[in-house]
Amino acid sequence: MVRFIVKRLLALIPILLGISFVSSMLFYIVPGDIVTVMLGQHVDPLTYANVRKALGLDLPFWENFIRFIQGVFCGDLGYSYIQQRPVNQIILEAVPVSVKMGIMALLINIIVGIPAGILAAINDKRISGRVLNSSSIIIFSFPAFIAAMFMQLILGVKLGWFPVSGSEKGMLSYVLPGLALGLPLSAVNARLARASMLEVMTQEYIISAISRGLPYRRVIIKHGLRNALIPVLTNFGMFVGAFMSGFVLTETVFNLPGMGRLVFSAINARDFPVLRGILFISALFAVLTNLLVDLIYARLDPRIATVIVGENTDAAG
Amino acid sequence: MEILKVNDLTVYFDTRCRPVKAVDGISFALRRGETLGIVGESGSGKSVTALTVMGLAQSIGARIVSGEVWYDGKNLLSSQDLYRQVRGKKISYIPQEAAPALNPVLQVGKQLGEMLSVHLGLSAGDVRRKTAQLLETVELPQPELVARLYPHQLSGGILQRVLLAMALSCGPDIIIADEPASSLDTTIQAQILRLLGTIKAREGLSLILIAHDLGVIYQNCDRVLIMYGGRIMEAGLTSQILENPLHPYTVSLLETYRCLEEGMKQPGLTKSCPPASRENIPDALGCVFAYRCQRAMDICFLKKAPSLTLDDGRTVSCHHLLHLRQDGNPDARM
Amino acid sequence: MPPVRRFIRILLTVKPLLWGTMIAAVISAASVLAPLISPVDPLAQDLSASLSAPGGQWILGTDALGRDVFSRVVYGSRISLAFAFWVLTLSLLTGTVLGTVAGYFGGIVDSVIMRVSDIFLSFPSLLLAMIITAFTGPGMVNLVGVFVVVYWAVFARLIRGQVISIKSMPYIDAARIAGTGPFGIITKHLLPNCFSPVIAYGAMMMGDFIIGETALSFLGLGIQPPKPSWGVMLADARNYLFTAPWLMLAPGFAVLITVLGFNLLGDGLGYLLNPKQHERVGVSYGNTEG
Repeated sequence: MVRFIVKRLLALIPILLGISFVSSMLFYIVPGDIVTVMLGQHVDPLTYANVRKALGLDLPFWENFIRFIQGVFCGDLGYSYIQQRPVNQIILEAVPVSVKMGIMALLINIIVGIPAGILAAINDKRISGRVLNSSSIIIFSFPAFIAAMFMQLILGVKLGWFPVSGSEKGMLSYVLPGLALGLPLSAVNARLARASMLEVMTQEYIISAISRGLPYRRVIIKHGLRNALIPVLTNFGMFVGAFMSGFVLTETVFNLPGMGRLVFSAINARDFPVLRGILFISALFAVLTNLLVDLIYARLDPRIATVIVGENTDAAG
Repeated sequence: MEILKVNDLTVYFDTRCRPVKAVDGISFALRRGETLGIVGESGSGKSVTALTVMGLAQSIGARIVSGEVWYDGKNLLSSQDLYRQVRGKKISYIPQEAAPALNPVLQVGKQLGEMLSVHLGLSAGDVRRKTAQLLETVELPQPELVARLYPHQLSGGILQRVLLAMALSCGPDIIIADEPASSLDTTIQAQILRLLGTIKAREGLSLILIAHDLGVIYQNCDRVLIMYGGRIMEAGLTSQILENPLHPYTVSLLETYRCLEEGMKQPGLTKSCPPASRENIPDALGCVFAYRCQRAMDICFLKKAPSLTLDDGRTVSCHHLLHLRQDGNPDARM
Repeated sequence: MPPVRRFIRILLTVKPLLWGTMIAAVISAASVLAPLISPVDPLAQDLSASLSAPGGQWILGTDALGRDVFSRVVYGSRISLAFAFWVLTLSLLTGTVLGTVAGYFGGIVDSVIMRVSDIFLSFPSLLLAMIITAFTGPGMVNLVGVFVVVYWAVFARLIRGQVISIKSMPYIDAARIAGTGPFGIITKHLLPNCFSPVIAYGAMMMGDFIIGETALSFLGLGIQPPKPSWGVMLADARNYLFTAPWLMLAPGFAVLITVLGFNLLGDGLGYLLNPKQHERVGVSYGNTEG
């Protein structure tokens, strides 16, 4: 297991370098002069030179790249001239709102998605299973921000159950955003859990477990579910990425001051250092989540990281 | 005395076009303490028969059309509840391949222990002791170590022994073994079968042994059923049938086996195709073997051959035999 | 069975495929025939009819500038489909070339291509697209380019996996022994055989690309007003969500149904191309027994 962890950590290094590389490339892909794009035509020469220097554009690209990596190690992601504050400070302020929303969405994702998928698989031949399966593909086709607007309209305005925008009402304010973000993705979960459970239910060890006289419920839960949930779990890394993208749209629709709306406002204000910082942090977070998922996976499935100790390994497949 | 009796069992697989008759109205009985062999080539319905007797037809997607499985004065097929009481406890099943039959993410000891705690309600400590003891019974060295390992860490032979230990765990009356260890090499297969025989004799069990290897049947079984296309062609004492086959199918099966042993190029049955691809055989009005039988007569294609019990106790389903008998010469060789 | 009849039979058996094909066909027809279907010019303003409710002269109502919502939704399908089509074609092309090279030649080339694709895949894809677009600026051409940069890796991975699994098949060895060169093997034997899962996946990705275009246009990063992109319409609708909900519902349902159509198509194709299902739908691609 230790060897497995070390191996995974080492594999992380080129990925992190690559992410930093792509992030530092961003300043160089702006058509025209980046400082002019940021600050407009009529900027005084002194400010122009300062900003250009602070962005590192007076240096060759590779020096700028190394400076970016050094900055990352010191927790320095650059300086926003629009807000006149360091980027990491701006991002840190926005994180709690997004985390609350992410947790809400994740809870909805798990609570709705996995049971729906498992029920659809167990009742595959019945009407209920078919209804669950077809509704999952409809829900899965909802883009989060369109779901958000539909929910604002129906649950927020017509029924008045939840606040429609802002974050003043505590956790209640996060219900609709969490639903909008979590529900479409829960359908992904449901479809995956269904396919995985259906696959597992035809495995010989399930029939074998029934032939040993174990109660059906026990077979489903103890032998079926655990095996079926392993692929579902490995997909959780993907959700973190989808959440990061989804925050931008849902937070904009619901007017929540999180990282997503920060992206939106930074785009409109051409606050490039903030955008670069958020892109890097999101990718870092996604990569670390994937690492965590891999480690949990190795823990759940003994076939991944154990050393074969038996005399023979012919039955390992 | 009969411990298990199967009456008129018919099992279909429903496909899009028409049902495939996997088992087509078979009846047989298992006597207490005996070993009953079921032989047949791939697709003859022997595994489906075994799984149906275990009450697992639905689990493999099959439909029971008719039939009764009598055990302990009850027809098990009449209710799934009856199966819940006997499955794994009174009637055990050993599948063909060991590795896929075990849950890959649970230690083998836990899977064995699960049966003990579910069926016998043993406490955790008792479960551990009994697990080790059972693994010792199946002649595994270091039972404590084996119990802690996952299926992928163990060899096929060891896993087969673990499954045998599971089958024995609750003191069953009957064990149904579906080609045990046939995917392993012959020495390990022989070891497993010898072990199964020893334990069977010691515990006084009754055994149904499914095999396609006539040698295995000859060495291990008291009586044998020859199956083809979901029907029983011939049934009786092993020595009688294998030494003096009457049904043309049994005859060619034995011929094939002998040819293989002697390394001849084109043994009997390989001249025609096996029944595995049932698409080729229209719903047989008559004998299912007629299309491959070298001695087939017109009536063989038109009418099912009734099963006939001969004086020596064996039953055969073949029109030829019927004709011969009407000629007053029942024991004539064909 | 003649191919047309077999196709119809497959459609009738695999319900998702039937619905998906129908929806995709209707949407495609709408986008091609937009000038014939839409009653008025999608850009024509009629301030006297501003924010008219659906019904009567305006099937789906009008927006704040008095433009016909129905016409705009119909023309919007042109933008979305064209965008998704170009992104799919170009990223599939890039992915196929790089994936095949990586999978077929292996070694250092494979490692380099795969490490680079790892890097692109470790970013949240839509966020990466948004932020790159924020730097490069909006517009159809930029948007297509950015999406290809973001999504090529997905296809490269898929193709590479297929190529590697097919490469070891005996018939490839046979072709090699028969003297076919690498180019011939790749074009004649590898690619035709590795496309079936890619087709199903590509249909699903069409839906993702349409969502992506709508989302970026919604944020002001994609297609610019006054062009009738569904995302632009949704962004406009935000201000009138409670007074004129049809402004949101019309493009919202348009996106939903289009994406659903492509997802169903992908689902149905995936089901059909999964060899395990052939028997159940009565499809056979030759003799599977031997």
